[in-house]
Amino acid sequence: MEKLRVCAVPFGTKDIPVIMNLTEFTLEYVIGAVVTPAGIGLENKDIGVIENRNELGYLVTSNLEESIRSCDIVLILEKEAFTPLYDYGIKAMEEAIRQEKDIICLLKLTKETKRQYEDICRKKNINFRCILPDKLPPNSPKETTESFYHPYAPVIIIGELAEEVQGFEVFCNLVKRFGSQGINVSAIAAEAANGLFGLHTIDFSDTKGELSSRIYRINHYIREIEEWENPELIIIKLPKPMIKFDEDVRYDFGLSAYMIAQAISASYFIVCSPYGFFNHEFWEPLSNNFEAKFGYGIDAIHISNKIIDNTNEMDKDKLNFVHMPAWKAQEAILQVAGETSFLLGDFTDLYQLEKVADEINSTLLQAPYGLIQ
Amino acid sequence: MVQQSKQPKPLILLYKTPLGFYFYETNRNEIVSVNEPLYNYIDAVMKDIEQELQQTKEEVISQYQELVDCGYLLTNRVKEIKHPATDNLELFLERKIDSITLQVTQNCNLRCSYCVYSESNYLSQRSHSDKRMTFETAKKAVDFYFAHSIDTKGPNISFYGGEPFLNLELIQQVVEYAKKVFEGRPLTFTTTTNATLLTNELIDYLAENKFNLMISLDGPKSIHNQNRVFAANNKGSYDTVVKNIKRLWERQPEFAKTVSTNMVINPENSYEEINSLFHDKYIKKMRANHSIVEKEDDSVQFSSRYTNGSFYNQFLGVLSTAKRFKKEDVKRTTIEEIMNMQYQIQKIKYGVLGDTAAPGGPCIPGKMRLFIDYRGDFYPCERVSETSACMHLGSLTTGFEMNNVYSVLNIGKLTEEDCKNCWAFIHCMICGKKVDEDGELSAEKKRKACKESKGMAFSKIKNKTLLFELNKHLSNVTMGE
Repeated sequence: MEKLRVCAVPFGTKDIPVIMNLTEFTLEYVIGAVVTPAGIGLENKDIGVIENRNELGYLVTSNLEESIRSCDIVLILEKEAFTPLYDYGIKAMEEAIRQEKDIICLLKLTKETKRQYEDICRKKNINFRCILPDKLPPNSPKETTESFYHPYAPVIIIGELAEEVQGFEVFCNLVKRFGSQGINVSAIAAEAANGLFGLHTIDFSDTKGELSSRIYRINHYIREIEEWENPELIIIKLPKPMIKFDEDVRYDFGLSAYMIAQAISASYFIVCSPYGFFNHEFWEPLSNNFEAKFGYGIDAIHISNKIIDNTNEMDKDKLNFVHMPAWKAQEAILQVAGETSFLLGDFTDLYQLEKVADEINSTLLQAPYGLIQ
Repeated sequence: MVQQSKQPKPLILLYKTPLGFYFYETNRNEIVSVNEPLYNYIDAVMKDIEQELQQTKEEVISQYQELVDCGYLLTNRVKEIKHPATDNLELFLERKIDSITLQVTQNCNLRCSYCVYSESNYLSQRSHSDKRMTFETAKKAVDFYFAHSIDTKGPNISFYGGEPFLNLELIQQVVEYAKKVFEGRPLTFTTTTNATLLTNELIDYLAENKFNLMISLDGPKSIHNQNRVFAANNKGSYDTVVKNIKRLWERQPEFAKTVSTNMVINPENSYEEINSLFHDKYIKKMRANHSIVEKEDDSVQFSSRYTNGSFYNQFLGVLSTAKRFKKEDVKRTTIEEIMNMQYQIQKIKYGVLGDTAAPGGPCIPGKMRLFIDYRGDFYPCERVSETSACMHLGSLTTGFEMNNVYSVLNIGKLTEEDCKNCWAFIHCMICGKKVDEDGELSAEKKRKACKESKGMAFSKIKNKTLLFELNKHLSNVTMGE
């Protein structure tokens, strides 16, 4: 069967794993065009340029109209609301409707907006698919008396020390890696693209009920997934950075990570980091801290090529990054990797990820013995 | 117990207040409160006072040692002065220029008495002239910025003069062009203006394009008109400015809320009189920034009418931080100072100085707000001399002159040994502008700037201590006592 050509729009930093993995996870699709406004600075450049990486094989264009025309489906990529790129996503959706192309929408829309687009698309016979997150199971009155569920499958958790340090790409790579080995994986993340990939998108910030009740609900959610899918491996990407970065950049103080850690423990934990944190003296106490706080220490460390720019006075509540050339970062990582007992690497590189996969295989999947929870 | 005499000295600043004894630990960027005997002993160690050292009780010496064991009173020094951004400088300038400032004109319709571009006041700076940036140059500047800011999340273009609105046509062309070039990114525009040229149409335009607008206004009519006079007739500009501010509020009230005023204070005037500006029903609703007038020969005079009012209000302002005085009753210029103080003292917090570091003063030249003059030449910011060779960082045609950029970034190297041994290392405020002497970076000039910089660093430390003492004291006292 011929694959359907997808026009992915608007492309931004977080979207590299979506473009790279679309065909891997959804066999019926192939990327036909990657579009973003010319002001992003990627016109006729490879998508890797946005992160100063080597060529990844997809050219970016700003020609929205023509790109949509040349494709079968328009994939509106996930973007933060009230930003120019979100508005561009809406513009792309309207162009897709004008050209009567099917739409997959990863944008968060208000109920009203979603209904309006559904109505218009129905009238025009356009297939409009909005990726919605899974819902946590409802509160159970018996939750405090029920026993807590411990999955049978090993659980790999991927967390980030800062936002946008390639955690989702590492997650996708791992899911893909084990999937190709024939291992049945249940994969859970907050990113909307996960739903598109046939994996689980979940909004962990669902605020219904008491905080502790949310922990039970996450635990039930994992149980339901395990019972339905009977996975050999569960892979979870945490939704927000695991700790506050400093007094100004606080994220959610690591509360999401803590909450999820109470609901489910990691058999193997990969932390993703900005560039420059290489010392064992940095990672060892942090691992001990995580062990005490979350119940699991660090097993492997992904070092991204994102250098924190702490000279930017304009945006105090967010970290700013500058991307160093990925090859340079990889060289530096290889040089220092032997100086720490943690498995250190750039896990966007599938070759380096193989070491993590080997370790998971040997310690969790083909282990000669193991503790029953 | 090891006697501390003749040993390398800790890198600290020891000081006391009427309520306590403290030292600021440079290597950790922290302030430690100590008891009086320990303070005296540390003082003796620092000054090699043999007699005091001999007479100190064992208990006090062991307290000293306890602090050392906890990582305080460290004697180590930075081994190499090198700005942490040095190795990534090219990367920053290639991918992440935060903001650019375009000199759209060198002309101004005012002749403010203190203006650095006045023909007579500042020999080391260019003078007012009719030179204007062309759209061709401006376009190249926008293209250059675009090509060097792929990692900049919120690009910003500032317009600078003279009076920028004397070249409004260019500003409008640049805005139109830049919005196209940066489509899809949250581009913002900024201008400082004397507000004499604000028409209804211009106000609507600025509101529509969400300009960050800052209006220069030095005080009430009596003060403002002393300095800020029209070039054409030497008459004060106050009435025109205030009329335009009223127009701004009446025409675009939502936009007006985002506009701020910028006041250059001449402290020869009365503090009360300066602050009477904020009786105006519109101006009092605007955010207000201020700075003290700068003179090339550092001959700024502070009158008692200024200092008395300022100090008293600072006292009230500090009380307001502890909710012991209504903030609304503190004069506006002091409210801003107190807010700035609270921001500044947050910078005194734990962090370890490494073997390689640089004093705190310089920004990353060219990255923070690259100033591009009417010809397309680069400077670190709009405040430096455009006639200085050492401040010239390149041009739109040649790109960055990296040697100059490195030198301005690493001015700490000019006085490497002094800096290594300076307690104010982290809070140093000396940047390239302060070190520029006849177009060269001068160690001697840098040393001259040290006193002022250390004064500012100590001021930060004192303020943090003051708030600590105030809150500690007030926690022991109830209201009404």
